Amino acid sequence: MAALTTGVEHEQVIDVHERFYEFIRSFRDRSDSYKYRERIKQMITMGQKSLIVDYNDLYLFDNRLARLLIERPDEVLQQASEVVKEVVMTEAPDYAETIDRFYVRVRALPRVVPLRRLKSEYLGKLVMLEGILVRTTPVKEKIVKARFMHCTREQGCHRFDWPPEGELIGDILERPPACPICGSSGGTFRLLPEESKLIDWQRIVLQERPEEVPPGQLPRSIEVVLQDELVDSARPGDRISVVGIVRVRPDSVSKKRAVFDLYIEANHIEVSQKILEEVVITREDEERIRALARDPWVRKRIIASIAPAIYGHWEIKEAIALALFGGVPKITEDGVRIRGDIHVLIVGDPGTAKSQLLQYAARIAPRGIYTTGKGATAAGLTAAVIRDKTTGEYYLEAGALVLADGGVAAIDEIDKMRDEDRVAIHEAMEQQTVSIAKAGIVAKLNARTTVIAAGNPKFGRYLTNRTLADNINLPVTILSRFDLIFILKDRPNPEEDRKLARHVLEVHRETERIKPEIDPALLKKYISYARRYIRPRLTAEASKLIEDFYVEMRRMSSENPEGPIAITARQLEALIRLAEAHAKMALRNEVTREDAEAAIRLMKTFLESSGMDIESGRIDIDVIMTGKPRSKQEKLTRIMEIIEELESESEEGCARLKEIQRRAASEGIESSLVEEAIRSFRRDGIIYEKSLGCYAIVR
Amino acid sequence: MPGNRLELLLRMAEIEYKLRPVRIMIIRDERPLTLDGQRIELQKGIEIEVPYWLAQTLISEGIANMVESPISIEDIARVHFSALSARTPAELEPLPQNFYQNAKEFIKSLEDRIRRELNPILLEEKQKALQYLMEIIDKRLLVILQSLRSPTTMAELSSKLAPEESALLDTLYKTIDLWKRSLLPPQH
Repeated sequence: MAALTTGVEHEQVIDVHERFYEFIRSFRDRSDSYKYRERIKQMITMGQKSLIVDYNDLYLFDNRLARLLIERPDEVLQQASEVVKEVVMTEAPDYAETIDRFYVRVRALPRVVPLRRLKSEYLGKLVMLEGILVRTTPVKEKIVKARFMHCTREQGCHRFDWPPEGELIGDILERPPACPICGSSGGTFRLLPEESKLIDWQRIVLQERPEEVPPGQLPRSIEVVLQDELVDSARPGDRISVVGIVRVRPDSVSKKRAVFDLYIEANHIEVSQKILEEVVITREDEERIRALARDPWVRKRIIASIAPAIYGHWEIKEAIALALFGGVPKITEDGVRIRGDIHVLIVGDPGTAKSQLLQYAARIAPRGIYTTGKGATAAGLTAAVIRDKTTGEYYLEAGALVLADGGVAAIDEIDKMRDEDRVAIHEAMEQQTVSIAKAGIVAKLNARTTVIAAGNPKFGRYLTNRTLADNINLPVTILSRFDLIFILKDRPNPEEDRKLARHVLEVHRETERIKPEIDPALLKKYISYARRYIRPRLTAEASKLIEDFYVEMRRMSSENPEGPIAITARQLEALIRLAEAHAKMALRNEVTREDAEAAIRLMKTFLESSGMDIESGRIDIDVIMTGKPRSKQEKLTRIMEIIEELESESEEGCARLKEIQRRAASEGIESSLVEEAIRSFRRDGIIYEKSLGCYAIVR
Repeated sequence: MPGNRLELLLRMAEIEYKLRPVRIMIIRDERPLTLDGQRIELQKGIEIEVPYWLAQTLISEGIANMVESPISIEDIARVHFSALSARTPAELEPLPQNFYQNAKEFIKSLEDRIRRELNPILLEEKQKALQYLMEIIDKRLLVILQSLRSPTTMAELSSKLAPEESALLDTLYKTIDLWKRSLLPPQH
């Protein structure tokens, strides 16, 4: 067996085969068991062909061998694989004969190479990278050992394997230069795919984590090739760590250019389970966090720290703060997941600092992504199956909500999102998953993301005489999924305008004076700490208060059967989440009466600002849930009844518009509403125009 | 004397280490303690924060357990890897907090266990830890000595050094400075 020399420190000769054999045979962990002998036995029992080695164990056993593995992984892994085969041969010869190649997979290298620093100096070396999986192709089969049939006139046909023993096919399958059996280069060489050896093969794209991207720069990404047991071991949106060898290939289809792309040939993949572990909290940070939480004004200070350069909007800042902390997600015994994320929507006139609020929220969120409704990537907000322009193959790409899994997605101009996202966002916001089935790719991706969104009014400015659903280009099914909706109206008010002008001028004059109450870096850690460790539970007192509020609001609706419905079970759940988030803000493990009161106050503000029935002047959740206030709904129902009556009365079997308007006017329904209703009924296929200006019901 | 100064700095680093607050879990009910006029409850099941020296005493008496996990051979190996991978002072990585003190205590605790358990694995672990620690010290010492030739490197390096290393660098710099001045003619 060839001995390898370490290029590190002193030139030393290592017999890799012997040392690795010794490692597997003699390495004992602290519990005094032969860890790798056990693992091999387990591997045989489970019918696997990969032995997973902890790098640290190898380093402790022989640090020169471990360093050589990093410097020259191809040779070391090749010999390690042979060692595993030998050991399996002695343990279970029958099993060893069925497997062509065993793999040694290395996990947890001591150093993670940042994607941004991966350069040609790492070529051919073993590295560990961490990032977010953004794209996967469907699984394909790659030939590792080809079988060719060579036919010549003189010798006839014969079959042979290519390349020769000990070598594997790289990226390109080339015709053998000559037949290894007859030595002739003439005749025909025909590939026999069904007799060749194939392995599963998949390409994924690993991207820098959003929180690691320097401000103003695009996230870097790298292609990773997965083979055999590694394929399909991670899904788009997963945060993974990859150990692999850095390779290179031409950057275009024509191989004549001297420019190459780096890619990783994966050796091991691990899906990270640690949501929010990316924000490192040291002991000192913990001290500062706990000290901050002891301040009785901590909540006010947190709210004041959100976008301090923006004047006013206290309630919106409070809502953003609550969304950043979030409620407590619960999983019931039967596996149903109840979301803890608080979704907030801001609808407002242009120039009301919506985008700035959103950008700030994304910046201080432990895992935050800022995007627009159109989405920066082709995948948009949820996920998409996209066709690669150069290779023509389909791949699955994760969108913003999937990439921000476990964090916050700040979506600006949500009203301008793609039609595909409009469909998928329903599932993403409530069930917190994104399902996709297109072009042979079927996947369900996690999207446990808090949505803080902003949108512009449909007509340029918010029209107070129209309902919320009329004012924003979003279907009511999406609107109803937001826990809190705020409307920012830009109305001149001399006193407020003066205060705002002074604030803005101060920001411009003395920028350094506008300092947040809490340093953004500390606030980020504070939020991360709360999300990681604080799980507040509702106290009996808080539960009672929320219950009473809900029942009282419903009672008011039930007392007057004609009256609007003020609140539904969806708002009840939102109230619980808000109260939990309020408790989390002060790092308390109990949701007290004070938290419940704060949640109720915010909910009332939301209902009054966006759930107000502009006709009756009362709070009406139907404005959000159905897009129509109850009073309007009733009028529409009445118009329908009038059409029905007139249709049965008339000889033509249809109701004339003039007649409908006349009868509706006698009941106090204005003719513009009748016209609008008829347009909407026709669009929905409820009525049709039987003859010019005469309408009948579709039966 | 520079030697005395170094000794003093190292002693201060050690005192700081012993005074740092650590979290312990009380595992046996005991009467409360009063430390610096502050009452410390020793109630079974509670988690409290005390200075490290007190934590050690309470642990040795079987009253408490340490909450934070102590340093392990794997941690030392990780530091060894990164220390030996650094080719220039710029590539040198800062050591984990209290690394030298923790490593020293870890080796001492292994020695205690070896005396009690006579386990060859522990002996091997101790030898490995000692070897790694020595190699880490040698490698980092080399970088410190290299940096003495350039004030820019020294400035860059200082943020990456442990208190014990900073004490050495500071003493060496002052000694060299004194030595140089004594060799040169006085400047007016």
